Amino acid sequence: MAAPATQQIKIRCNDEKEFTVDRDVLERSVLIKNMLEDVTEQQDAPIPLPNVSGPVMAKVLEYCTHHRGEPLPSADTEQSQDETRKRTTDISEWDQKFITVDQEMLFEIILAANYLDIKSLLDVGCKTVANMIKGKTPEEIRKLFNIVNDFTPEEEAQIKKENEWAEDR
Amino acid sequence: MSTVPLVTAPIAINTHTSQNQQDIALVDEKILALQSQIRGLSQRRNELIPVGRLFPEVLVEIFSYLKREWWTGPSCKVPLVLKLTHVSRRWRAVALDCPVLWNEIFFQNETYVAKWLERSQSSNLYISVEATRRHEGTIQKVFE
Repeated sequence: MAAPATQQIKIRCNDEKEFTVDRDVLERSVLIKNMLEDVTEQQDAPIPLPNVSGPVMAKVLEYCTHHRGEPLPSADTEQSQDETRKRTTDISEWDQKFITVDQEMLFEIILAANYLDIKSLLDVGCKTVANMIKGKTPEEIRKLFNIVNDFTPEEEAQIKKENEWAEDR
Repeated sequence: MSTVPLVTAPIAINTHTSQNQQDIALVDEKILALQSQIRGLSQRRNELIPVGRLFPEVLVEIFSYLKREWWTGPSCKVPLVLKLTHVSRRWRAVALDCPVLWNEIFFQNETYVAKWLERSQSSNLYISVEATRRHEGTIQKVFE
């Protein structure tokens, strides 16, 4: 007997790129899940996602397809994780490979995960950035992310003072 | 052929000096205005780069993974979160505006403890003590 057909949903990105995706894959996104729950009738028009481009959505869908069927993190588990302060920056092997992209794409994925409300993907992105920062000086961090020093002379003086706190033992 | 006279008319030194000072003040003013313009443009540039487009709450999420990390320099060891506030105006504002980033206190010295207490505001504190008798006063201050 053939397996029951999975409902397929169409989405449209901000560059008009469209994807037709299995509902359970798309429901990794709490934003889309809520949208689908609000729609009572079968709808053929694609769901517009004005804040995500086609190439970024393709990456997000790759992640959601790989993790389909896994339990979604509940608010309780997140809270208990925060309370016990056992927040590690460990990333699974597959996720690590998946997130090995250029910086532009990395931040686009983080923005998309935040907008689409995919907590686990947002975590992978944030942990990756945190791992990139570890052990670096402010100057090295600026260089890494192409940030320019925009402090006023007064703020620079304050920063110099703060650096002296640690020396004062 | 004309010759350059060896003796010129006396210069009004006082007038010249005062004019010179006015010119310097004008140039200084222009330098300050340009520096302020450069800072404004630098801030704008920092908003346009990929990391600059992250919302404050996402930056806080990233920073929170680094809350228990240390930065080790040649002569000191400081919590990395302090270094994060030295990257840019935005990173500083976001980190200082998030009390939970400052609620884990590792005793080092009085200034350090006082600053962490101030920045953690009213959030729950987590305190690690590894101290000798000379730190007694600092410890007392925290529990006051």
